Amino acid sequence: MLRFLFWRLVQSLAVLWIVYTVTFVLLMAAPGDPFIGDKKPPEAVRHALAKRYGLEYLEFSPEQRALLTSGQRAAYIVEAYALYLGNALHFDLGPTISYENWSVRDVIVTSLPVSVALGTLSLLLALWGGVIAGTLGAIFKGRAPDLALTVLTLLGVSLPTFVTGTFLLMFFAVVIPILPSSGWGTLAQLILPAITLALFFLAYVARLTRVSVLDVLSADFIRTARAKGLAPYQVIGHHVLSNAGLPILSFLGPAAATVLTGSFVVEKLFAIPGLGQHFVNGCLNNDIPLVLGAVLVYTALIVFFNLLVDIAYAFVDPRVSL
Amino acid sequence: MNRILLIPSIALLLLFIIGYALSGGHIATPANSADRPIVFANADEVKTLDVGKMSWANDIRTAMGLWEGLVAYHPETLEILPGVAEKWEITPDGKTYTFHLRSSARWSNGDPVGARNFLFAWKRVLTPSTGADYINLFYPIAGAEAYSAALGGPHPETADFSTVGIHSPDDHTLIVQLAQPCTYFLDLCAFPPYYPLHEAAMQPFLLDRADPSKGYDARWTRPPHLITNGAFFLKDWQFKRELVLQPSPFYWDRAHVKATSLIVKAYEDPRTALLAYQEGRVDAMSFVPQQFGEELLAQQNSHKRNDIHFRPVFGTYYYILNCTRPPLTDKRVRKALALAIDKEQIVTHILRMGQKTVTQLVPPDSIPGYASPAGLSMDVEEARRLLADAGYPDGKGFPTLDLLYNNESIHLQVAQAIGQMWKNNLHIEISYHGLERGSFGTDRRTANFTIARGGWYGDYTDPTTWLDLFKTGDGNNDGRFSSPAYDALLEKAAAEPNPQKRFALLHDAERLLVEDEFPAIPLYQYSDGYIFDPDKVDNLNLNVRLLTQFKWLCRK
Repeated sequence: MLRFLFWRLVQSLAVLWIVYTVTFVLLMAAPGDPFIGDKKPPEAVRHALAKRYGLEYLEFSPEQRALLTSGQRAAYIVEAYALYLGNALHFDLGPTISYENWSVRDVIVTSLPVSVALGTLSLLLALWGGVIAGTLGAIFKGRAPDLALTVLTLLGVSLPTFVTGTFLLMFFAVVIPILPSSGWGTLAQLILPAITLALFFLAYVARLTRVSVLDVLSADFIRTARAKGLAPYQVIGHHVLSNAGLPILSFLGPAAATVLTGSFVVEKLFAIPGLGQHFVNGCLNNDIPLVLGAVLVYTALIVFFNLLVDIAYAFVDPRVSL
Repeated sequence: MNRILLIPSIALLLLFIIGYALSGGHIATPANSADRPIVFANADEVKTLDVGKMSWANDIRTAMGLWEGLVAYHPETLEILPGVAEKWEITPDGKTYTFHLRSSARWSNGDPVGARNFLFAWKRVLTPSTGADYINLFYPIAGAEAYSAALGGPHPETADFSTVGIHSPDDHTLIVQLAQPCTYFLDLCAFPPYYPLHEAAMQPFLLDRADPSKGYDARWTRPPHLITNGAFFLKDWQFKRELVLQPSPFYWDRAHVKATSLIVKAYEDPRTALLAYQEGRVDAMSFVPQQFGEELLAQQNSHKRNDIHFRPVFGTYYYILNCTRPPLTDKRVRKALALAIDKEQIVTHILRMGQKTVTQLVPPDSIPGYASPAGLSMDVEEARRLLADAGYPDGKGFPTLDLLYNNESIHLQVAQAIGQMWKNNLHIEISYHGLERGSFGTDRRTANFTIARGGWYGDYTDPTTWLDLFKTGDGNNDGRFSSPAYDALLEKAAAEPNPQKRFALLHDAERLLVEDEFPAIPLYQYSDGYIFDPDKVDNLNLNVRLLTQFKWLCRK
């Protein structure tokens, strides 16, 4: 177990470094100058800003970049990379460019808990809603409830969040105004965005559950359990779900990482100050420190949750040992 | 219950509780008090509260509530009112301003506001490493541009601040020497880059005590560290959520500050903002969403509602022609392009919010005393004749023109409409080139375009805020237009102390641009506005520059 954890830690650090490096190179290759500003101050002012961020290379237009020799280009990029990686190793992610009063760390510290709270609530909804719906679908296979659930889950998987979110918003905040439309800070404000974010995962979990429950239901040991005279809920709750739950567990890892880092659409629609918006806005604004920080958090979460799932497997599945 | 569902559920529940608690969430809705703050919604988060560096409308509006300059704007007419300075004298040649600072002016921590605070702030803006967007607003001051250039040049040690025309014989007097008579200098003094800064409060945040040019840790702009001298102080700032402004107990004119508290919020989705407004959680919106604008304005015009406040503002939308790229080097071609556009079509069919077309660059009737030139209206016959004169009869042999715009808002539709008009009227080919904001900005700055979308909001109430854009060598002269005659007119106007004569010279300069040279094609005047119920919120005035003065805001 300890040996396993140690190797996973080494692997995780390698993954983090690779993702960081690739992201950095891609960001440097992207055209666009984040230091232009609205009023285009004199060159000296702009240059001072670029220098403060260690990103002089971004001042060049694509044409100018093309004229540099590959050696010059590499020198610029390597110098900036060394600066950023060095700082990141000291847990200093630097100041953001587009919101200069806030460091990348400030942005992550204020927005990650929001995304985590919203994301975990959505996952809980998705997990329980999905398992219940999927199990019901399997039990009533081929009959009306199964058909209805299949259609609904299909809709859930296919409809993008801006459609479901807008629909929920219009219905529960405008037509029947029982819930607040946006904001953060009260439990009521959490309901609509959590459901919107959960729907896709709920539908996915339901489909996974249905398939694996059907699989398990036809197994011999279930027939034995029934023959012993166990009540149907005991068969399902104890024997079926214990075995059918494994695929759900492996889905939960990456899903958690995705959901916890926030969703751009849901955050925008419900005015939620989460982390997701910074991926998109950071890229649009060429805010390299912010994008790097956000990517680092996202990668760390994916790695961490996959590790959690692997450990959980060892606990729930006797066939797996670490 | 089986472990597969229970373990993750418990883990998720724990994470939820931790996340929600850390994110500042409440269990119950906070109670509504009678003294509810006024909630003001912007379309984006405040980008910076460093007054020396700001240039965005949201930031400027907020700064005007938190700080006060030597002088201030009248909330409605934008006339100049006394601020930190209770009186001032201007010498007859219009070049020397002596400000007498009131002794009752106080920072939000109770410290007196003195001339040294202005000296410190102004010197900081002139230092290139500060990164001030609006550094050029200080160039009217004698020696300022040279000082700044020296600091940014190869020999910064030669820069000497005593050569800049800013002096204070004592802490209550500030004397400013201008290079040339600048009739709008007081206007500049009311604008955020000219606001004072509390050096002592910033000192602990110096990144390098030995070298102040390295700048400050950004935390100096956040409560409780931020010390301001205006009607309000910053009580709280939660990133991407809200800024809470409360009346400063030490403000010299505290009696006129009626609001108990002010909340500034950011809503990136206009739909969400509008819903929050309709639910009564927002009192005023500083924008009218484009996608609902037409409908909202129709309701307003048919008197179904009275809360849409929309008006032409101090900004122009235009197309920049790159004057260094053939065939646009020929002013006949530029003029032909300008005359072949039906601007009315664009405002009625694409923008649809009652914008006004313009034939001038400076929005007409927006500057008291300044008479705009007439400009030229659409004339396809004349356009074809000009194009033929330039060697392209009926568009034959004319190269394909590349049209650059940023992929946001309605710029694409406008570009396509104009391209089609040129195609139909002049029989020339257009290619469309849409880019995201960052690359668009780079291409514009490096003049890597043939025709580009442009727009400009005036920074001070004077025609030069537009006309300087076409001066040879100006940093914002993206089309690289250069005309000795035009530069000479601007120079002559700059040296002219008589305001009427000066405006006449500027009128001639603008006429040169919009009737003869056409370095840019003016299309329409921006319109913009607020949404608020005038029966609930008082003193939220819509002046032409949308420079709302939070100081006067209150509930009815």
